[in-house]
Amino acid sequence: MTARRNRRVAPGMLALTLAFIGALAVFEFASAQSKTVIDQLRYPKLSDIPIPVVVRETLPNGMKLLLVEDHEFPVVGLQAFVRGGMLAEPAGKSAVTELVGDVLRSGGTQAMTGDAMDERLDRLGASLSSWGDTNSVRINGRSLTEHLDAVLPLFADMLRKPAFAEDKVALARRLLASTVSRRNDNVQEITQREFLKLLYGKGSPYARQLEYADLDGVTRDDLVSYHATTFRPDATIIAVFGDFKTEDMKRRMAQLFGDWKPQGVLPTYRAPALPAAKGSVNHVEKKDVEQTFLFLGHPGLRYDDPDYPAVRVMTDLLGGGFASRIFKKVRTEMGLAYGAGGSIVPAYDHQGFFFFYTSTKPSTTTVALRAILDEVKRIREAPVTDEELNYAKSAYLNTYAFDFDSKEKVIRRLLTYDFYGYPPDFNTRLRNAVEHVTKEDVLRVAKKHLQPDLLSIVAVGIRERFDKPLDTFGPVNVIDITIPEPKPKAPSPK
Amino acid sequence: MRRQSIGVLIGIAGLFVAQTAAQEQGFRDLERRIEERTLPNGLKVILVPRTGAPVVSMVTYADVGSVDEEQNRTGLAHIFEHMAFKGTTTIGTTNAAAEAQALKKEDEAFLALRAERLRRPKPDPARLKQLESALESAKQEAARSVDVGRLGQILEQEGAADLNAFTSFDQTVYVYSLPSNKLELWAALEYDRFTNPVLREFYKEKDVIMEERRMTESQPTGRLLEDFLAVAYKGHMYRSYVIGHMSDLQGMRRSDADAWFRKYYGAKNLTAVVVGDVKPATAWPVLEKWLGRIPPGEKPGPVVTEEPPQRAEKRVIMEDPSQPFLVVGYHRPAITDPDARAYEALSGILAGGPSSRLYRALVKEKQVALDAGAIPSLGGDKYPGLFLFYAMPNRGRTNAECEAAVDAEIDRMMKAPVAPEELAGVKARAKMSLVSRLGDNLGLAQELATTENLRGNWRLLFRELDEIDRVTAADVQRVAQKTFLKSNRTVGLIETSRAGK
Repeated sequence: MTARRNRRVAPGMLALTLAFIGALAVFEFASAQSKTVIDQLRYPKLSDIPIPVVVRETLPNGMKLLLVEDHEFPVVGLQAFVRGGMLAEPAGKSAVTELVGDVLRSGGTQAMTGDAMDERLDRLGASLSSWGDTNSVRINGRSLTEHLDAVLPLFADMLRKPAFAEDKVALARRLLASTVSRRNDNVQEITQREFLKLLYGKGSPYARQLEYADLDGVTRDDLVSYHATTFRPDATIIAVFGDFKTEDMKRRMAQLFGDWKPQGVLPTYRAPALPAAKGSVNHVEKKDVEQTFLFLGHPGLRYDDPDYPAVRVMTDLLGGGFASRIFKKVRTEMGLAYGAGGSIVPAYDHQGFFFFYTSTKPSTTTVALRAILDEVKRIREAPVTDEELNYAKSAYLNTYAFDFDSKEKVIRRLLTYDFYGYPPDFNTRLRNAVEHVTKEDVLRVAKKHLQPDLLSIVAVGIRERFDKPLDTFGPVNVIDITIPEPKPKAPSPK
Repeated sequence: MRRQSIGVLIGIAGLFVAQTAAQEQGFRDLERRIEERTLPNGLKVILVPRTGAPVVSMVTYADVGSVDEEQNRTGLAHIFEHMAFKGTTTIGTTNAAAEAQALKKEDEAFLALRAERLRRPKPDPARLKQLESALESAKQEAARSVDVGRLGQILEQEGAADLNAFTSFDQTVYVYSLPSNKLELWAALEYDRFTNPVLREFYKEKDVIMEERRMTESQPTGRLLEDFLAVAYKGHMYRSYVIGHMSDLQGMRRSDADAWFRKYYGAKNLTAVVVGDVKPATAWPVLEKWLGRIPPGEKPGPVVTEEPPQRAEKRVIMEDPSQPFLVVGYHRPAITDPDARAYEALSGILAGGPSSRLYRALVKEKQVALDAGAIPSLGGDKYPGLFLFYAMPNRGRTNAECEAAVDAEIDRMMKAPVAPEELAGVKARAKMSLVSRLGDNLGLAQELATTENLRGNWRLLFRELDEIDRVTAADVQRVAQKTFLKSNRTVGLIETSRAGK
């Protein structure tokens, strides 16, 4: 029920510069507007941003630790990343990562069953959860300080000695199958999923779509052997934040993990390259929707691409906020949609993608799509105005302080940077680079990186109710989203 | 730091007590720092200075929601929320005088169209077409004086984060965060938008809201819950989904939104909360200067209609292409009821974590559901609401199996007192939940505003743990017994139809 708008992932800066830009912006309103309540405002200098001290340590076995103290409340948070994820799956074993992610926690440890763990943690108000991701398996945890003695060993055992109990493997398989059976109930999910498949290619971990048959093809042994290969101290990064003493936590971590020995050579994983983009128009027929859901995009670029700062300014201006071109055009001026916009989703280790989206009543489907495409084309054709540039850059720069507004946020960011081998001050470098972006840069990167002809367009809705056929935009490929039923299994001895 | 020394002072003998006291210290420190003032115009302001990054979060809470709406005007609370982003007499226009004229003409054109649309027995198609095109021209004329998206642009440019607003059954809430040196920007703009709003682009924004409604209707659970509420309540306005009926959205006039604003947006009906890196000594003058000038207005009274006692179980069965889904709602008292915490404990025991009764029974043991749980209230809290159970049947399993399993757990809850460990878990999780809700500036600001308005005093937020601590197993059983009667419930089901996808 909202007007929307999420926090920008903002980058870094000196307080002085921030105050200066703030003052500049106000001066500009004053000249552009008649008398408003904010014309006379003068802001004090922004206080310096206190940068939380994050302690880093690598244990002799290669496990990395990031620690930051925060004593406001008696709580400790935990996060672990174990490198591998779907990139480490053996051929023909899709679903092993999802199952490992689920059963790592639900299956308990060699010392305690999953059900006993559930009880123990629920009684303490604590939580530990795990899931499998494209390039890692992750654990998140939270505990009151007073219960850390009980929770930390469970956390360590999850990483080192999971039981992968057979009954919980069966349960996880059943729950995942139910998830598969429900995947066409959420129209937004369909739209994005089909787009990702077009972008990354079917079978890519980045466009993972589980099938019943995948689940049937994975056994407990597969989980055990996946764990044995990928879970190693030198593939693990752990972050701890909250109410503890750093020296004490280091000691505890050394006790829990010091004797974990890596076996053999550390495997390396590489994100698969994106297939070459080719433009396409795709339709998914879905009867029980009142709108057509549109999602379009093409490959993007990495965070560390030198063009990224200018691309970020460009996409923020195009589809990022209340005053962005697509939002203003499609929602505010044309009244065609509640949500409309777009962005760049860069990745740390592969290209990522540009995307644009909206959803509108069937009778304005092609009008809305055309409006978005026109904006994508327009930003490639002429330089943005000074006012627009100032808007997009200031919005980015002025939110830098929010990068540091919680210690949890800071340490999670550092954990991600560490995982991908990015420098810890990467956000500040981005911020500094954004400061230097010019109108010429914006036009140059728009021309170079936005390729309207290469957009994969996905439209989910009721074709016969569209205002015009989609083939106005190119030959239409119809995607069948029927969920393939598993082959009946031959009876096998249990 | 302080925590440690207190622990040491009390010594080893009192270790357990010291431990508990230490944990509450964080909450107490926070509560002690909170300042409140009621400005001369009646606006309540709560200020929470907090150290950390130089940022501040602000909430303006209007004590009005869809529950205050009437026939013909459902969806109005939410429409006004959208209009509050359209600017003021000076922000968002390129020519205020021309705009005022154009808006008048736009209204006239809409009223003529509206009258024709409502003509009985039926509108004249030719006339309708003509009036539609007249409105279209009037809209275009008005659009010439609009500086589109100006308010949002100013805020985003100055570094606003979390810029948003939401409308629920009980409340309309406007939020954002800023670098903390710009507190005055917020105060000035809130003063302006709640004193000099211009409801420009009104008729276009209604189109946006109709799209928002279509978005909700495109989700199976959205469709079910709308009908479920309409059946669970027959009199009280909690029956009406916040977004409003399509016909009411279409018929809504700018004058309706203006009247809504005048009735519900006086200072006496607003609460402002500021949490972040600000110094009270410099913040108060700024807040008083701007927020103190919002016209006082009146405090509107509560709604009169009460939901009559339910006579018998009701059922909503929606045949739909999607997978099955089950909700069961029981009427329960408002959040101000002395038993409110017992309902929270009840839902915690039923659904707090993977060892909770529902998850254990339906997901882990009987394996009939992909997920199952309960929430202490669905929708509104200000007036008597609904305690809700839900379950998503596993592939190949049915709503009926899930319903039977839920009923078995309800039965157990009514027949025997809960175990002490279960209650202990509820208390531990309540503490954890409080920490996470108070942890960030915006979360804390919203909690304070909501507690102040729904429970009458923001300090009750800090009594939450004590209140939960006082809940006994007997309370939980008593509340279960008085609530979970078949005649007091409504069941909502999505049953998969064969047709379509």
